[in-house]
Amino acid sequence: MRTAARPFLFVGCVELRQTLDSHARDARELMHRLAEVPADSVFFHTFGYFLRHRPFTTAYGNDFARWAAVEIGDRTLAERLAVVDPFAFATVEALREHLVTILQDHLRVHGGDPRVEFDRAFHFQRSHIVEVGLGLAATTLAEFRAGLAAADASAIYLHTVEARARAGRRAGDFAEWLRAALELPTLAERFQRVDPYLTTLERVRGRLLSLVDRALEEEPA
Amino acid sequence: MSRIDDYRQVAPQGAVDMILKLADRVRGRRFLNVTGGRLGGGAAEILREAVPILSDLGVDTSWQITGGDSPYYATARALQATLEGAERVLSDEGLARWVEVNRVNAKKLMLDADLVLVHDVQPASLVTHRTDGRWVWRCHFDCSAARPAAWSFFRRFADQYDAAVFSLPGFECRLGIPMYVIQPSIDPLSEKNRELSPREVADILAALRVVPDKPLLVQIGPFTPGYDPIGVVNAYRLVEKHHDVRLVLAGSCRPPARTPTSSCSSCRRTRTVRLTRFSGRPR
Repeated sequence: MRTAARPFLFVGCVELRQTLDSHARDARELMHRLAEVPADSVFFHTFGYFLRHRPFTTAYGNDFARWAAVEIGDRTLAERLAVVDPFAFATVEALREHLVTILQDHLRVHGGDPRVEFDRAFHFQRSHIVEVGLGLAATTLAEFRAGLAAADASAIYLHTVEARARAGRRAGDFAEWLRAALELPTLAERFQRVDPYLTTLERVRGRLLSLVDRALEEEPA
Repeated sequence: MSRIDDYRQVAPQGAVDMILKLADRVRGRRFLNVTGGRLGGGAAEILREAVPILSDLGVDTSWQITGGDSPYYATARALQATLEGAERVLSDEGLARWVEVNRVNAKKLMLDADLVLVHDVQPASLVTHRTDGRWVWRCHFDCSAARPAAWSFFRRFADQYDAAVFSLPGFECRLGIPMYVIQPSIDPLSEKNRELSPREVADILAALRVVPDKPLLVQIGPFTPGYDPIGVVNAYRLVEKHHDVRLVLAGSCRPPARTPTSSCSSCRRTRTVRLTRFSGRPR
């Protein structure tokens, strides 16, 4: 079994959520506020969605689509917002621009939606991520599998979503380590193709574990 | 074994280990909680469990309460009610008394800590006597519809904190400090939240004269605006379209809240609604 010179250290995270005193009560306000809030807030309501919705699968994929469907009851707008895959954009600003354009188009064709009461408004937030070393380390594929299976789900988020979207490590930490430290480029490629969009962190964990299992089975004795 | 380990049976995988790692970072730091009382209320309920657990984890955690006379308590209650959006009379004299009693409280209490977390309204003006450390105001209620005059009075204290924490986004009123969101939590291992045996369930339903012929949709809590009984009835109306359930609103009335039947007059049209008033605090 291959042994890496550099161990993989599993790191989890907790999210400290900050409310921004910026609210939208209809689609038009959502468009205006979305255009002006800090980029961190756009990140929170799109990529950060994966961290907060981990217990169950949800069809919306981001907070904007969920709000359009659940609070203002506009299924058409919700569907248009839900199909936006945040990983398809090179930067958060490009993602923001696309979401604002969807809202602009929708308002041009369908007009404004009714306003909702303040307690059903969209409340813009952002988060501060606190990284927490979990004390799990791996130098072999078997150890990596054990760590992946035992780690808090936030570690899956940090090493896949945050690493790719915020830290600019486009392959994600798992794939990067498998390729560079464990010299398993095929497995790394398979890891990189696992898409967290419209699924849950536990399902991502399950898919990654099955990829590792397959690699372990294929490994020569 | 620390009592935090008891939670492994109910916590998501890895969550307790995360807490242990986080606690390592703040081991030995002084964390002081200040509330207006040790009994009743969500803050006291949380702290009764959290303080011993945090101490077990090596965080130097303490809990102090403010005290005072009847006018002090009455003003603090009225001030909190107005910040929750209710109409109450707040006299300048009463507000001055509240500030003065908290000045005396500040002399009596040991307020030195690395983090001082002040819960809700009653002890909030202690912040004017802060020394070192970070001070955070923990607001456990919705103050988004606070009465303007009450908020402008209270804001002069709230803005002296380093940050404020609310239970949900949208529960905040305008402040010049960072505002964070920590959602409310329950303790799944507390006596209040344990599973009831079928015998206990049957006895309680019989005592409340609730017919156990269909699944129950239940809210247990005071019949006050903060617990939104009308919102629960609206939720029931959504559920009953798809599931044949019986709604039970069970709770107590705290003066000056209205009686259950008057606060939920619209419920009386619904035959499956059961309104029940306990004589004491709900369990």
